[in-house]
Amino acid sequence: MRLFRFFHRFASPREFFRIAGSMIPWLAATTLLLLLIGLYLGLFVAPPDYQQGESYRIMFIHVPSAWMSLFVYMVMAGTAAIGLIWRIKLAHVIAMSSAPIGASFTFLALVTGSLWGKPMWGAWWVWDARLTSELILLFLYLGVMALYAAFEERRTAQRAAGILAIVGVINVPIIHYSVMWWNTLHQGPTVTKFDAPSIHPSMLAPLLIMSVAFMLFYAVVLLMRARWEVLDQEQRSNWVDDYLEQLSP
Amino acid sequence: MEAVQGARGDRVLFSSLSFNLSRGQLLHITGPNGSGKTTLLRILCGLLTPLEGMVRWHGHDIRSSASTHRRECTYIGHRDGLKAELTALENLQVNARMSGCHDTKVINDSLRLLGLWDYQDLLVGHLSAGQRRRLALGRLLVKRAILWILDEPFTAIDIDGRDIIEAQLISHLQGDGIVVLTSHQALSRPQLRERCVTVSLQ
Amino acid sequence: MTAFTTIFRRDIKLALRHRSELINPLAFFVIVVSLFPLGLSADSRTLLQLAPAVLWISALLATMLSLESIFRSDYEDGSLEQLVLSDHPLFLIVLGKVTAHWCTTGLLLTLMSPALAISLAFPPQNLDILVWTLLLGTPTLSLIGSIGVALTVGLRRGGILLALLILPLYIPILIFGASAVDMSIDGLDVAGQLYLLAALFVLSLTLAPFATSAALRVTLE
Repeated sequence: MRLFRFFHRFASPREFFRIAGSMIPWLAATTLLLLLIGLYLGLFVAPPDYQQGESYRIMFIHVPSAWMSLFVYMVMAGTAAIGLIWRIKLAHVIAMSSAPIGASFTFLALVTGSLWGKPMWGAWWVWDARLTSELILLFLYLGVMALYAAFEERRTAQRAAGILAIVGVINVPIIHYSVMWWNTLHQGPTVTKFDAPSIHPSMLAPLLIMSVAFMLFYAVVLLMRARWEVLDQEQRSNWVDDYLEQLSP
Repeated sequence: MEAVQGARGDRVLFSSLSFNLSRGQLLHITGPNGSGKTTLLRILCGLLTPLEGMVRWHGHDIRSSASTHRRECTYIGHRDGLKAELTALENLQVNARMSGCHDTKVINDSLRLLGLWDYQDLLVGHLSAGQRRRLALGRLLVKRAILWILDEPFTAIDIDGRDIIEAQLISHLQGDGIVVLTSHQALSRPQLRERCVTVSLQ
Repeated sequence: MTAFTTIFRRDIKLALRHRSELINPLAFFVIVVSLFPLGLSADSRTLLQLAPAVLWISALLATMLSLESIFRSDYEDGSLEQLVLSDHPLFLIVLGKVTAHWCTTGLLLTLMSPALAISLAFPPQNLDILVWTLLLGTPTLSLIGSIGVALTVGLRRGGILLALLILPLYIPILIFGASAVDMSIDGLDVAGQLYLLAALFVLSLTLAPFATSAALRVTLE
């Protein structure tokens, strides 16, 4: 019951703006710390791979961003559904603030994947199942963002793009499996990157730390984006006037 | 209708607007261009959700009892909602069937009443603007809803047509119907004026 | 059901009175398919290798270009808001419109495809698989497409945006459809892909009309 009341209060734009504002510095500091630890462990402590040598280390960026690209899409579709069903404005704000962040993670996963592919496959781009799925995911993100940008009215834009995100999330697994199937059909079994039967703990630790750091990074950027979005959306309310007055001397 | 706030974009057109309508009443919404008349009508018929407040029909929020409200309400927007490639008769037939009326007599009577009987086999694309407006208003006659919401019903319509429509409005009100309309012209018939409530938007 | 049949018959009648719009997607299909031999070579082995992909991608693009006709004119003349306000379930109306759209595009494309396939040196004994994949795949294209059109119909220029929204969602259908045709030429069993196409059709038949209805209510605001 207490938790429910907390969320209810949190969902009011004004409280969200305040609470998010006080959370951001702490989250940002933790993110930075974990990123530094993860990068140190990944780049200096973890041993070179017996097959790939040093180049595998890009995994510590590539794998977390690929995970995040899917995770953020789920968050976007989930919050869009909450916004559509229960008509909660803040949920729409979270969904639409997530889209560009998720697209950036997807883009990062694609770029690092292609950088990693160069030494492994000898080419910047191969139509590998994972990379192809990731590329289609980027298209899905771009579609949501383009639709959101196309409407003049924010409320319509949020709801229309939200519906598209939900349609997309139903399609993500279908697209993924169809691409996997297509890949085995046309290329024969290729060595996938995660064939290693068990990953050494000295490599696993930095991977997990980096994943948590990416998750927190998402939270920080999301809260920052959502705060300004809320401020813009609520520009007619009194508390925004008060806040802006405080800012300017 | 309670404390409704309507907006286009970030601009609030009206707020804290409240009124009550009972059977046999006509609501005339007036105001200059861009004051939100159409927005208000679209809120009343359920196409638009108000930013704040709610519209009640028989005491229930129209978002939760949407099907009752839709069944008992006819909305004629400023666009006629007619297909140019179908004839007048075919258009009215589709409209009638979609509102649950399968009686050819009702359709024929409506066409006669609206003065469109001789034009029934003409494609709507070949009719004049006034004739199209008459045909659009034919929806009212085939559906027989309680609540009529009309956006500028008299646009492009001649004096004869106006007489016909006003007579229909009067008989609808006498039969305990409700009419909400926007119009730049004042209502001419005294029977309408005595049942009329006016809301003016700025 | 009255809503479904009334709207279906209305839209078929409208399509028949608008011959040019009926023929445009078909002409597009023919032209795009005939561009490939001109751009590649008339060598029958090369053509046969590309034929499944060419036929499927051309049918997909022809469908996509015709999608706007599902809702665009109804939106512009105000019929769409009347349909949304009618007291029939909106998904039945949507289903009627999408069915009419498929009958006037996807079905005709499917019926035309054997003739075009033959021109690409396609073996006649495999034509039935081509027709089956298109018959199972094109309704799904119309159904998914209707969501995209419903989302963009309120925008003045929705064309390119519609392609961006819809094409990624079309990928699984393209993969299964084209590969089934491809593998049938090699004499392999393609029942699996046909079942998958059928499954995608059933899935989109049950979900897409609801998504489209929700989208229409949003964009008509």
